[in-house]
Amino acid sequence: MIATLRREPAAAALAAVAALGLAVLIGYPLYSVLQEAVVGQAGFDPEPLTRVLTNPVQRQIVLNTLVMGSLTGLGATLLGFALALTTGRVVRGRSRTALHYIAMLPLIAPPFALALSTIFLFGRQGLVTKQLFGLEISPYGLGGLLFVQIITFSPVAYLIFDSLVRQLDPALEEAALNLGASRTRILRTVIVPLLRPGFAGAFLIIFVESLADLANPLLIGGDYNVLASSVFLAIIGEYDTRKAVGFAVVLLIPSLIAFFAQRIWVGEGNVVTVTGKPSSGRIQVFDPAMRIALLTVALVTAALVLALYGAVIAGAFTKLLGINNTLTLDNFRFVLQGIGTRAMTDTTLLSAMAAPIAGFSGLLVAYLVVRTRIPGRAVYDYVLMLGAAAPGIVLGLGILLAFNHPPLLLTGTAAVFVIAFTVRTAPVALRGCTAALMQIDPSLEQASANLGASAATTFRRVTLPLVRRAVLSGVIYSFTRNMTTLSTIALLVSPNWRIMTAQILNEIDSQRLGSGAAYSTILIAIVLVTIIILQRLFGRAAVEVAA
Amino acid sequence: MSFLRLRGLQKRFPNGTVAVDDLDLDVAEGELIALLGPSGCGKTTTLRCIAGFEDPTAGTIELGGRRIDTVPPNRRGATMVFQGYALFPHLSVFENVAYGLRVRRVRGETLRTRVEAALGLVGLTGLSERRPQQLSGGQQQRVALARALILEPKLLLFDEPLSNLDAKLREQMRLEIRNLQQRVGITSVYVTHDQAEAMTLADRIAVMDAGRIAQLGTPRQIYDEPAGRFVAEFVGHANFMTTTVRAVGAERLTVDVLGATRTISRAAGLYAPGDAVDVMVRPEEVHIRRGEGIPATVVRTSFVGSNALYQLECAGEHLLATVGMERGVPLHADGAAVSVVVRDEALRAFARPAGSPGTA
Repeated sequence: MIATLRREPAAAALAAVAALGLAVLIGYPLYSVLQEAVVGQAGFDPEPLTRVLTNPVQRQIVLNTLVMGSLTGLGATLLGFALALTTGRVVRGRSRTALHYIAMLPLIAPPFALALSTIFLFGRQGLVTKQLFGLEISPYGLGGLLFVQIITFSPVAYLIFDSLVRQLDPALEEAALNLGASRTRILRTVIVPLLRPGFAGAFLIIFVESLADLANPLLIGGDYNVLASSVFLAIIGEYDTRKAVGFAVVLLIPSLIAFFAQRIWVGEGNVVTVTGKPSSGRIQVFDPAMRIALLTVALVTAALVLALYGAVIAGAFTKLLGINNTLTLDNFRFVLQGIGTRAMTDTTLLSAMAAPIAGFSGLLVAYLVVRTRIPGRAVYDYVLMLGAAAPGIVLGLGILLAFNHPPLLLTGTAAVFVIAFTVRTAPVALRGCTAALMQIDPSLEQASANLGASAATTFRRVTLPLVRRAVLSGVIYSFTRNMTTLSTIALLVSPNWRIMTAQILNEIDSQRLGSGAAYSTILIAIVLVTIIILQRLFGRAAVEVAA
Repeated sequence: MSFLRLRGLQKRFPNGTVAVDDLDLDVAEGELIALLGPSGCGKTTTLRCIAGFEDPTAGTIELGGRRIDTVPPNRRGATMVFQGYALFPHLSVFENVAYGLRVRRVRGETLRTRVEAALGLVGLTGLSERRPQQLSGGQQQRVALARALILEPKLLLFDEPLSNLDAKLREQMRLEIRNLQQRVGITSVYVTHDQAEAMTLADRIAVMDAGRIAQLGTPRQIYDEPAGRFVAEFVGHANFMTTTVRAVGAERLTVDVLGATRTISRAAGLYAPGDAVDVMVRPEEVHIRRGEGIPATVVRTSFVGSNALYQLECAGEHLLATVGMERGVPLHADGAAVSVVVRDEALRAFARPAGSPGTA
């Protein structure tokens, strides 16, 4: 440390700032959860944990959670794989581009939107099930939950496989073909083995995200209780903090195991970004039966995604979609004349405040890890990654517990939201910036130093311009995610600051599905418009750098 | 009077590898010295120590009488031409070349004039608004050169700058770099593993092996009077024969080799009558005659254009001979009986390293 201080004084100062930030904003909240779980009024007392493991009702919740996470991981991984094969090897040109964007569309869905439209379309009074086919099916329970989650998380798998399929050298498939392998055999012996890291990675990431999902279990889970919703209900319904931390700690364990297993096995390289660029190159065409199978899956998925989005918008503009389809603006009037306008400005303001902080925190830690020789620099990476590894509801609970008493009494202020948003989204910026920094040949920075530039000048004139795109992606991702997250802030809401996703929850709770849909539509519109504006503003220059 | 002075330079990496081992080197002002050696010999590490990208574990580096090994890399006044050029992909050619001047707060007309002059010097006038990616490999190389030269550094460092170019362009750039360096007169250290490049460019060559300088000398000295078997094998081609010392003179040895008793030059080392020694002859000094000489058989003939290569069996040794070719001159056929003539001056003896078979 002394040597580092002497050699790289600026880096040592940055490292100290980062260490303090990570300890207070991530370490302290998670520590608060653990402490609450094992320390009662009479000292050491792990009653919340033993209760989860012995009480049959609570044990069932744990089991439910693992079943949901595994099945969602499996389903979404396979769906993403099929979609990536379709865009990579079956369709081309415009239809490829269209399918590519549709496959990614669920990424920007606010948490309730897909569950809400599933109820509109496939619910007891569903437009498709009841009105079209006269069926009476309940979407509530594990089935509906899996349906919504698989669609919600399939883009994660799609993006991973899409980038892997692009990296696949078509020459390998041609070689296999040339050696006499059938198309099916090529899929089995060449494509799938080469994509194997993608399967493990996608499954584990989706498992973690599925466990962390709060909105869908609340809305469509019915009696199928899972840990995330149980944490929420324990606080909001029963005001039982110790019960909540019991669930939270048990939820934290499989999430962390799966998350870090994924990082160790799969490593760097699969960075989810919001922008995609179309690929060129030769296409190996599968045999007709396989093409038809893949196309069917892709078209059904695309139709479902579009129908679900359409239903949200239709639901926003009708009295009650499926029952009374009269067109109306009442839902928007209700939202905008109520606290909807406040919620829009508050949410946008807080999200926009946190997004650049998240982007640059990610860059700071990435720089420390990749470019300096600070002792223990890998620890910074792992601690910041906890922000993504820990389920949002656990993080939110931690922030609630940590900052509701002196010395850091922040409850009800904007700061808790900015902290929650930053901690939750900085890891993605970190991954993007780490990948970008590792791609920069160190000789570029050495050349700058060699030509007389100081470390600060080198950073400003060489490093920053080259990672600008990664930082920008991180900022856009953070903003989008902040706008649409529920689980992280569900426990932090107060009358001082109105958050749109929490308002949607209220509306649906009060059976006002129409205004819930109106809120969701507004939210989707804000996110889309912001992404387009940001890309117009920075996109061109950022793209030039990448070229 | 040396301008660049390395004393006892050592670099030990954290994993225990000693890349540079107690190295001394003096470079005179205006001289171009090549560090030549196989990969892993420590040549690049030495260069990076001079540039300040590696901290030596021991030793000192002086430039123009001032110690620089404690100076941060951005204040050493020794600019480098990088192996992959390390051109900034987000800056134009002009801005790449201007980079160092902007750091030194040179602005406006002065900046423009100097950048244009530097681009003119390397023959890139008119390309200043291009991005590095839009240039050919040779042009990128020139940008890298201009970017380093424009600062009028005390010392110019080259890290295998031509290794990414194809053979033809490499030969052309070699000459251009040599001409430019002579014209500007900047003291230079040039790292390469290509002996032809070192021979063409350098005033003196330091052949490196395992972190040390195996021999320092002019290209002619290195080639004609290699200090040891390593240098003889690394620079050019060499035939080796093993024999026994009969008598030891001041700078010469008497040995039995190629069917005669000869008195030949020797490298530094300890010799005593009865010791086994290695005797070297370069292939182009193995002359093939039809008349008198040592009887030999052609094992295989290869024609490579300007030369013919012959593998010979001669007095119990395998010898490689290179013969310059002219149009119409016939080749010796495989299996042909020929005579070989080798002058005593073409032979050189090396003491065998301690522990090798045959050492007394």
